[in-house]
Amino acid sequence: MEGRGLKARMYFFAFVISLLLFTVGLVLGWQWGFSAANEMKGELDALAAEGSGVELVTLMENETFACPIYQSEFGALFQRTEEYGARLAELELRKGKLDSEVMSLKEGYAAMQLRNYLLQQRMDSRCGTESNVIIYFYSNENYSPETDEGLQIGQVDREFGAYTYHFDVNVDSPVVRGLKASYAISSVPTLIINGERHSGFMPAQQIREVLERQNA
Amino acid sequence: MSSLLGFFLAFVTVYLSVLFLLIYMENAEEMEDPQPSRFPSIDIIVPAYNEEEHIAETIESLLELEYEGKKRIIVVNDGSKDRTLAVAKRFVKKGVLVLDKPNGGKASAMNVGLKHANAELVAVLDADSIVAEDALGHMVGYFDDKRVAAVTPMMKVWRSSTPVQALQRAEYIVNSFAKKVLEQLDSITVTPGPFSIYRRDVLSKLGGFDEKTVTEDQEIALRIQKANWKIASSYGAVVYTDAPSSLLELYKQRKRWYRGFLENAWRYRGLIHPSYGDLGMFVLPSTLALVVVGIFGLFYSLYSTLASPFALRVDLAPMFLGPSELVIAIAALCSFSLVILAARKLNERNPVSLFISTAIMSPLMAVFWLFIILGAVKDSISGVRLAWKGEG
Repeated sequence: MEGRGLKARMYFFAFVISLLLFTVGLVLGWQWGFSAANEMKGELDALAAEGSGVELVTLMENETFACPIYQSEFGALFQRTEEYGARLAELELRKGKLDSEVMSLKEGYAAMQLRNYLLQQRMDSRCGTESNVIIYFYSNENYSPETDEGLQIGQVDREFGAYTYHFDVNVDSPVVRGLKASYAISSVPTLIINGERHSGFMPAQQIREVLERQNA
Repeated sequence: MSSLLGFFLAFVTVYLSVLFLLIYMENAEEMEDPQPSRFPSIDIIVPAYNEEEHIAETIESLLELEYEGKKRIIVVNDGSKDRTLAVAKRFVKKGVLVLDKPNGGKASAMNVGLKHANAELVAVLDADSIVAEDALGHMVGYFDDKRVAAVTPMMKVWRSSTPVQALQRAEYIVNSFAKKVLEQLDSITVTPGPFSIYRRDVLSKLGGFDEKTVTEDQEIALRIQKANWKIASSYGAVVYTDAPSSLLELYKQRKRWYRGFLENAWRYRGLIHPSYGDLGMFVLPSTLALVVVGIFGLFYSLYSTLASPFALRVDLAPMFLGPSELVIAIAALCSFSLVILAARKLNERNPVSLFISTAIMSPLMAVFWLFIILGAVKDSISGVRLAWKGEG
């Protein structure tokens, strides 16, 4: 039998075509990622406007009017902020933690979180309600699902009706800088559970035990 | 890490689909079955073990084969414990040669048949398969090329009475089409038990079928390749074969196939050499590389999922259409084009249902595959003897 051939040209062409198709996919994907970031900017503005509305109502001096509005509206506002945060985390995962648009959105989100937190603190004391509150400082550098404290908190917070506020210590904003200074954050993850400080990774069960003790 | 692996596998899918489509487009005209210039004599060997259910139908399908040349059917009963021999003997008066031997495995039964064969061509047919009436006419034309030592048919699933069989339908179609494309690269590495035809003198010169391997159809194909003969694949010769009906049967079958693949890959590692052209420089190295990456990828995915089940939630519910989704969509589109083309060329009526089957089958097989490979490696190391498909 005659010698066998090698269709090297065919393999090369197939490689070039595949590379082109792949590049088109990647470019389109990134483009869609950008439009998603713009869309999220609009959503953040809407969320901020909604938060301002709730805030204005709670500024009313008369607790008889303010408290029922706070109690009916704040939970929904918190929920929407949480959902927004989850989408932002997804966007960060896709675009990278150093992406400037993501960081800008995270600045706005941190401000939203702080405002919600302060609003809640004020209204809890005025309306005589007591909520479980977890403030969670984290960093996405060297991220791995095994050490994602957010996943651990997510297993427990609903069980205790706890409000969790997440702050990425790498976000360069006055809000985050102020909070870091206020709670003297030197390492992550750090959790402030109902004012009690816990540094280092905490499994869900450990968080549960703290909340159970505090609520006993 | 996992996204890098995902991108790599998506790229490989796109690359292989594009490559197959390019090869198809360049050779489309040459891929049609050639008209035979003559009709050489042919002996059809049917090795049978405990096939009382299927053997009559199989022999009848062979007797009904349209063929202008001389043909003879040789049934070799390999010490069946059921009524296979008695059923086969009913066809003696119709000219079927029925041989009986003590149980020794499929390859030994085929070798006994080969010893009794005297025709120019020898076909082998598993006793659980039936052949379309016009199959021989589609296949023998390839032997006009003196370099061709074997011709394989298009295999389809005989009955799709269970979901597992229905899922394999698509797989068989795609594999048959892939084999036709691989023919253009002189790189067919298996001559399946269901109705492959060989030149008898070449088969005898090469020493017949290997009785020690668990996949004699793959081993003989690699031996033919090593001896620099060609293996062709026919579009039009359709053979219907009984596919495993349950996951357990499928597991046993595939474990045997992969064990044979691993053992034969090692045994014929010398084929990975520039002198074997596309086979030695592309097909065999890339197949082995994909097996290694596949094993690593599946272990890694399994480890990541078990280590952090909550992380899976994020991956399964993407909220944005990003680069990963786009490249996966492109890979799926390329595979879809290939399935549609395969279905069209093989006269399948419903290519969309075939694609859906493929889409279901692929992830199922990916998980299943890891267990199959592990089982195959274990069997290979412990040397478990598998006499007939799935036994042992």
